[in-house]
Amino acid sequence: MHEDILQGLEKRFKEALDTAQDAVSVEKVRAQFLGRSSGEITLMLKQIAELPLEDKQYYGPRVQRLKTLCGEAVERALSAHLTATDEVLDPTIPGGAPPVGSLHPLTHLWRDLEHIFSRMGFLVVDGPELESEYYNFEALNIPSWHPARDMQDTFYIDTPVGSPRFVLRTHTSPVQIRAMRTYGAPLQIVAPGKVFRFEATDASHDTTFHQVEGLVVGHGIGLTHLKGTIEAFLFALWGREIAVRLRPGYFPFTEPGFEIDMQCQICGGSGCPVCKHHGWVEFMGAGLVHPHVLRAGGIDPEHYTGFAFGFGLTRLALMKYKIPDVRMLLSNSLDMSHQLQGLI
Amino acid sequence: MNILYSEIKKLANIPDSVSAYEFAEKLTAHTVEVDAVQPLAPECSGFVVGVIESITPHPDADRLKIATVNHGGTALAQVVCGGVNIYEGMRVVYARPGVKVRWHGEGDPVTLEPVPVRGVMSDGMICAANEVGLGHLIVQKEKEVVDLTAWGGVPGEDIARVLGLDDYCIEVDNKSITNRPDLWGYWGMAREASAIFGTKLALPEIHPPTSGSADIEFEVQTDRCLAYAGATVRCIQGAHTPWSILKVLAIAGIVSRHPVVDRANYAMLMTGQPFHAFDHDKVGEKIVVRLADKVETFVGLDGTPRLLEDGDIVIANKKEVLALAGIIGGRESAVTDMTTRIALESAVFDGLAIRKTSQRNALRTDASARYEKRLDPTRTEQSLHYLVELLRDVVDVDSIGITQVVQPSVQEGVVNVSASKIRSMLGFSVDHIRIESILASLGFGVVYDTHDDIFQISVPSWRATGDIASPEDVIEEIARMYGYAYIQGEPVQASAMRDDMQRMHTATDARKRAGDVARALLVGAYGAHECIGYPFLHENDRKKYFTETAQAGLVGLKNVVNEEERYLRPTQIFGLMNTARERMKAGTRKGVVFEVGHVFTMDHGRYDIGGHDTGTLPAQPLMLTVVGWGQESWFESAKGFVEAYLRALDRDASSLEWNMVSETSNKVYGNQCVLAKNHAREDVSCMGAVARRDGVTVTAHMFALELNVDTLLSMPSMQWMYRPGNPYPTISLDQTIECDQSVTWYQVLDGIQRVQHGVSADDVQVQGIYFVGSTQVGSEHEAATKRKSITYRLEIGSPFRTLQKHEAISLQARVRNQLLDMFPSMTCESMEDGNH
Repeated sequence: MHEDILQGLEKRFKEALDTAQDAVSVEKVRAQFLGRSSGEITLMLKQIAELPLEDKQYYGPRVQRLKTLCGEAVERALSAHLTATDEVLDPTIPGGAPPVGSLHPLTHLWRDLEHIFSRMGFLVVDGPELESEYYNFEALNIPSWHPARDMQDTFYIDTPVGSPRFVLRTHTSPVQIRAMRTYGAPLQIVAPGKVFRFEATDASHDTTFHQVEGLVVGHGIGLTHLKGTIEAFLFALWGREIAVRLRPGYFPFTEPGFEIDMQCQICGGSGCPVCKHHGWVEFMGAGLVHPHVLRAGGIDPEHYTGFAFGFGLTRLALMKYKIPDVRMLLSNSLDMSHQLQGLI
Repeated sequence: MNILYSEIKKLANIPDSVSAYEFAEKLTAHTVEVDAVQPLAPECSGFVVGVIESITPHPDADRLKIATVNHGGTALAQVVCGGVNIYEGMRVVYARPGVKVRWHGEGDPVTLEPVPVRGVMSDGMICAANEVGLGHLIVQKEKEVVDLTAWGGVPGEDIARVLGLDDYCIEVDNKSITNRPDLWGYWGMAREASAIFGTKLALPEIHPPTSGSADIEFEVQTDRCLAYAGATVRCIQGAHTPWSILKVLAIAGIVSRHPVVDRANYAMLMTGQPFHAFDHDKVGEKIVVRLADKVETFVGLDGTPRLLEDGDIVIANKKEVLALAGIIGGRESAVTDMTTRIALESAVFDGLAIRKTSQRNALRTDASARYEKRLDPTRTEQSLHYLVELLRDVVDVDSIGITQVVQPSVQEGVVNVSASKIRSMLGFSVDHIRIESILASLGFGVVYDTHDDIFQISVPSWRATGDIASPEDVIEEIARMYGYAYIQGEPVQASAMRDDMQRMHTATDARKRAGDVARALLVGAYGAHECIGYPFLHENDRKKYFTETAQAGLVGLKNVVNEEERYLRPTQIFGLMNTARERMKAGTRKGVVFEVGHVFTMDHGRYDIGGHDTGTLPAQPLMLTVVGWGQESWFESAKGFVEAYLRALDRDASSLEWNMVSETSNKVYGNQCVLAKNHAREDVSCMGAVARRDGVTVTAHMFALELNVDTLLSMPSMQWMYRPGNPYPTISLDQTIECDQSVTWYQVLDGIQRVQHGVSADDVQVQGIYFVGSTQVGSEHEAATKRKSITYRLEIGSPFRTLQKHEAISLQARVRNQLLDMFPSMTCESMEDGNH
């Protein structure tokens, strides 16, 4: 390599750029000198690696500098040419997609729910995924001897004998207690999050899934409010009136407790395999907050009442996006990312 | 729990016009969830009663016989049959040609046609239970056909009618009766049904039998036995269990064993009160109820030997343990076909004790499931009387003896509820007459005080063991019987956010925003794909990447679903690396994936444990983790992202302190790992190139970056404020320096700032960093032989005037001298400059 080669190169570049009459020719010049694989300057940069140390130290920065200058010159020339064009634009060519990625389907739904509940005046709060037995069970009126502990298969954390026992929370309900203790009454919160069950997995069961908890505490809060709020939420979520059905259900932390069914969104309530021909699908557990739970949250049940509800965000996602197997959600398949690409 | 509809219908006087499906719907709406309604014998149509008139041997087959069957038609049918139990005069299930039959109970049903069997025409078929879809109801031996003789019926009569199969099994969801011990029996269900349909409950009347005391001594030594009644009976020979009882047992999944035991099980299904039957001769003369000693062992009916523990309630004689109370009987004292004298037990044990023992032994039985719900202790004797009544035709009536050993203490609960409380919880008012009639129909006593507007409610014993104890419990009874369908919804009015709530919510809100901003930035600017993963750490990763010390900080699980997932993830890297590898394998040459989620370590976290414990839960920080692959110069991209992310969250990225680290808690990274700490010297971000599976670090292969959202958010906010722009053009100066590799950019920047005060990091831009020279292997000055060339551009200007070229050149010279001063081995070269 010699100094004059470098100068010759620079000279030829300048001449070529000067004679370029339009943007296309400028791009050709760029390709000739700066092209990624065989541009003359690019090639020269690659050669430097093979030079003896002394030459490398001398020429390295120079060629680098030349590359930068030429690049800038090309950009300047391009912008000068881009103002006028005689090309015929074909509006039917495919658009060049910007490099946008994808959000997880659960995030899409999560965000929708946050927006809906925020508009309805609910505070969005969070809580720990690894919980104490106290918050996950005791404070929710499920003492250790209670058979209801069996209703939820629980992952226990390996802690030394005699120390407090921890679990992976089996529901988002412990956030009710934490929120009441933090914020006091009156209160309106929702808490979406991950929950965990110690059970074998299949197409509709997974060890890890998402729930949304809701809690309203105030003066004179009753059943009518619970029903009305759920109806309003479903209307916002599906964009149309959705019939709901309350029926007795048992949760130790509510009294009375309900299962809330919603009209099947596949058949519209006339009966289909998805709703097992009932016209209804189970959607959430709910109820008026049990006085013991209010007390555990530091709220006097003589002054305040409340209602709470919980539903499967995961289940809703499966329903809404017609995903056939729950395990697809946390396996993060490329397929799903591709389909969701650009949906942000 | 499975219930035979016809039984409930009878007990609750439900009119015939109410179908099983309608019944199930009403029960679901008012009381408990019905999972399904199953017709008792869905495939059992077209089969009729046949009577075998004669049997002759088959000329060509030893195991087959030719039977002539009277099936009510004009002619007898000739049927080739392999049933080993057929005899002349036997009533059988006969299938005419044209009927669909499931051959040997397997495969799809096929239509029967007259066909020759080994050369003899067979006109129809004599069926086994599973061939007509009755395998679950009628238990029979191999190669036997159904013997209907005991049921009677005329030839040609539909067997569905003869067997009473025009019936339904109502499958109640057990979870929904967890809190209702009274519903673990037909009688309790019937009470609900009669309340729902407004019909008159028709439970059997029970009269105390006139009998002497039991022929055995009972002694209860523990107060964990709340009530105990015993009886002794002598069996009579040739007794059997009638079909009406067998059907009820069969759909409950209880196998018929002995006429007395079957009736005891039936009585349990009816009353909800479990019974146990001992072989009196094997028990001896005394039965003791006591707590176990530590050393005792016991072999149950299931043949499994079990070691007992303190606190287990046992039934024992002088020698040994006879039964694990309320859970399972013993093999030795079990009733068999040989048994002649039977001792019966009707008791209520402490639910918690039963539950503990049953859980420890992983043994749940029909009895223990009922006991742990806390049964009504006041009905042991009455239920025993009912059982004895059922036994009258299978025992010697004169032999019956009954002893009430422990009288339960009766504690009828009283709950006072005001009408206003009812109104406020429901959101509407219900007429007091309606309230009284609802509660009365469920067995509550109600006194309404019109003056104070208060209902004084006495709780029936079967609801008083914990189920109904507060006004809320009573209000639920009123609401569900009134009907939730009639409630008009009224959305709750959004209450204004209180000032203190707003303040306390800041941190939660900031975390949420941090997640949202990360998603927006990564998805929008980097084309990244979001992932959400499981909370577990795979054993392979744990063993491969974690040092022993690091493993001590992991959070382990006590019970695992998958043996390969015994710990909780301390980082989200591995899940993302797997996703990245899968995508690389699928041919995606470059990409970025990320997750916003929680990780777990044994450090102290910020959440309290609650209850009586003052400590905190293990740490579970919110992390943002990014894994990229196929990217050149990973470090610039990774650091660039961190800076952009901090900027997006209005945090000062320049306050981070960046250092190479040689050791991290996991061994994922190769020799290039960088840690960034915040102003408080807390770790904010760790990033590095991931070593390939072969251990070689290849920068373009894969890199990972972790950010702790909590420590990031603790950094002070920058508070952007408007700065007036510089009205005069600036001059940019390019300089290239070549120095030892050990010289850092911060040092160079520092040198420049010493010469020109007020130059910020933003005013000096690195144009390129470039390594020159080659490492001489084995050289003592290894690090020194390879040198680094840095080209940067310095942008200077004055707010008062346009700078002159000579000023710029002079500045350049001063910078050069300063740097040469600081790094004597450096060479420096100034390039062109230009006005902008």
